Amino acid sequence: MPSFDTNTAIQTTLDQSKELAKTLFKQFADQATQDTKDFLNRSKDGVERAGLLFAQRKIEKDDFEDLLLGKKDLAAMHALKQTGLASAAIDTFTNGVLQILINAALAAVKL
Amino acid sequence: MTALSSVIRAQLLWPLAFLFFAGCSTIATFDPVAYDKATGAKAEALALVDHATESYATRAKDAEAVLLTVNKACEYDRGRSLNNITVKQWEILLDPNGHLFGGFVERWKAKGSLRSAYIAEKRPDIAEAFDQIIGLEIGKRRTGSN
Repeated sequence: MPSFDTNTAIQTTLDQSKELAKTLFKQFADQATQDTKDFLNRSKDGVERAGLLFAQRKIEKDDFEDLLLGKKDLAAMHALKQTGLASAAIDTFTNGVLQILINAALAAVKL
Repeated sequence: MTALSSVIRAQLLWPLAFLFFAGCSTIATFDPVAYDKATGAKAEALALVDHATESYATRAKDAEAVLLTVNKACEYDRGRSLNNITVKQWEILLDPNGHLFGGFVERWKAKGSLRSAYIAEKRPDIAEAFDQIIGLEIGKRRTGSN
């Protein structure tokens, strides 16, 4: 008599999904943190250099202002990138869970 | 087999249907064409930036050609579904009233030529703006076809 062990399939899916979430989201959080740190350091260095150039009269006031406002635009683009990468991580997770469920369901079928 | 089919239909179909809909993508998947267009546009834009100490009038045709290339890359991304985040990035980069590539070209046009010290500081910012778009594309989920 063929049967299907629902409890095992669901428990396996939950266990493996938990592991997937731990790995995937930790990896995402680590990368996002490092990426943001690097971005902020580059921005800080750029603002310092621009300030120095203005102080040395190598650039005009409006050039200096434009360089500062460029950092603001870049920060907006950086935030959009992180938002997009978070969405991609969620998509990877949901697709991973679907694959886990299919595998667990196939393993739970007893012929 | 009929009994097994009933079991699968009853116990598996609804959870799978739920997961199918829950698993629908929230953002476009990786597109190698979009990646190529963005990296190509970046190279052309930076090559143009290097000429901004010269008179805009002598480089106007080059500038328009590069702006067209960058706009084509943006429009390609605009045509992809679930890709509004990347489109917003292109809009910031291309905004003529903004402070990245679009603003740079407008500034060059308005001033006639730009100081080398300013260009040297602006160039990495424009490069980074393209990298934000390229970085997001690279980070999108790969599917079987890419």
